[in-house]
Amino acid sequence: MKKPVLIVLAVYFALMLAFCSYTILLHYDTLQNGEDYKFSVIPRDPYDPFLGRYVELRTENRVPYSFDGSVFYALLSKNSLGFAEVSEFTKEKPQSGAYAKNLRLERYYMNEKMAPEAEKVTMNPDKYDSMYVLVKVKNGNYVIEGLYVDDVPIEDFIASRL
Amino acid sequence: MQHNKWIVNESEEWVKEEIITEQQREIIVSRYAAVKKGNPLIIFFAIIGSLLIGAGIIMIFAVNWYKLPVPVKISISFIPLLAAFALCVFTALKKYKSAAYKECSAIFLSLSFFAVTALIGQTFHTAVDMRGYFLVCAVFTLPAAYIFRSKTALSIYTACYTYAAFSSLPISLVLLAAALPLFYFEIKQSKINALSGYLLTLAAIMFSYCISAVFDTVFGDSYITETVAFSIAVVYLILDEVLHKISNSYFLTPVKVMGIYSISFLLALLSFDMLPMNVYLSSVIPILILCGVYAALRAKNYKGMKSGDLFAAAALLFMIFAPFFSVISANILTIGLGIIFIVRGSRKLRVAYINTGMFLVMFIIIGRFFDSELDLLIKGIVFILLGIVFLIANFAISRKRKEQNL
Repeated sequence: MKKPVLIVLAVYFALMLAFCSYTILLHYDTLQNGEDYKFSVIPRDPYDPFLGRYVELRTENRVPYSFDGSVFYALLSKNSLGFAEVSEFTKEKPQSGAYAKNLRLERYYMNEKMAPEAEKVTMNPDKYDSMYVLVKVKNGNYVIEGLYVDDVPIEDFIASRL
Repeated sequence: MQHNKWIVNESEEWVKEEIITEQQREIIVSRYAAVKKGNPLIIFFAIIGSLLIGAGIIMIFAVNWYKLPVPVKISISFIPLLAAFALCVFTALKKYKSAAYKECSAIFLSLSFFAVTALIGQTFHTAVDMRGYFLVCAVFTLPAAYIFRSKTALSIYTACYTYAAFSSLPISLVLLAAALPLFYFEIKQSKINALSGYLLTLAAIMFSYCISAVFDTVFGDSYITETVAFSIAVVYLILDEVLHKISNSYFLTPVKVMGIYSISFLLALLSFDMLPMNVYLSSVIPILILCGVYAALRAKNYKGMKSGDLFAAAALLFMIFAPFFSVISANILTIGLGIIFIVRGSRKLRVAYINTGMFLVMFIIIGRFFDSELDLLIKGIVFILLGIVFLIANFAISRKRKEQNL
């Protein structure tokens, strides 16, 4: 009786660990080896009961509403100032060039105390030269590496003000 | 009843009166000692205490979470899942006949997976896809429900289902088909009353919610919603009292279950600060009249307090205090009802009472966890304190039962 249960449990645990490990490895590899893209953003501070406090990011390149719920690809390029731009949203997988699958730069998770401070900082974006998220992109996968204000990670920027 | 203590004392008298011999007495006493069972309440207290302390520690970690390097964050994320694996293996090897251990293992495993997935998402700042999140959680919760035949895990699966399958026919059909065999086995093994009570509980929540929503849509005034919802719940209790006098058929008591669960659900819902609340003193009149009718019916043939009495009183008290401090009164009344039920359940050794009480207390604790205004450090400390309280309660009950040789 015990042996079959243990075998089923072992398979179940293996599947759980495989799922989690695959997700982590995919993101971690992109974070370590992906190409840098800076997206200009305007942050805002809301709350998610499951994942905690985060900064809502608003980029200039919004995903079209018609793409909601479907797989899409964002073709990426860089402008003369070195900032990233989405040249096109498409449902067809690009054959060449840099692209990100289902690119949604919406959330940057922060400490409970820092997120409201981040919102205060970003209330006056004109006071700073730049405000952007650094995104690592590799083979269509993307990971947000950090949120920066005047090229300083926002955590350090706020910590210096607190 | 303290059967074991009773049999020990009584058998001594039998030996003195030479009804049985000393040898026969020992056989009888050992026979009763052998059928002694573990108390699920103690296991529940222990697991909930441990979970609360674990959640508190995670929250305190979360205060400085952003300072930790990614590999450290990932490693910490896996701790609850690995602990859940260990508990599951222990249950499979040593406690596979214990329903309480199986339920606890399935819940712990399911919630740990929820936590790991959420922490990975947070570590890599992934875009939120709630449907995808609940779909993955449902898919990985169902095997736990099957392996441990866990009704609680099945409830978690159903909760995930309502979110993941919303307005998606293929997902809803696949998830439903995957769970149907388990529902079939459970229904086949369950007693009719337990099953109908469970189904009617769900029906009560949905029915009350729907009626409230209809009234809210028609009148567009929130105070009417609460009055109507509480009125429906008290009407259930009146109906139970009236129908019970006409016939003693079991099938009438679920009406009481509907009343009790409607009031519990409404109080728990209103304990959230985020919900709009606009109750006036005039709102209490319908509840006052209905509770008066209920009290008159009960007084006619009073044979001691019933569960419905407490809930009718809670509905009335809430409507009286709501115009002044609705959220506080909803929290206090829900916790109060929970504690009363845990105490009554412990005294009568009725698991259904204890579970109802635990559900109410846990709902308030979890509800406060989702309150965005509380600082993480304070939440963490509160959770650890609550966990310690649960473990002390566990220790006290365990000790008392040992003293009573139960």
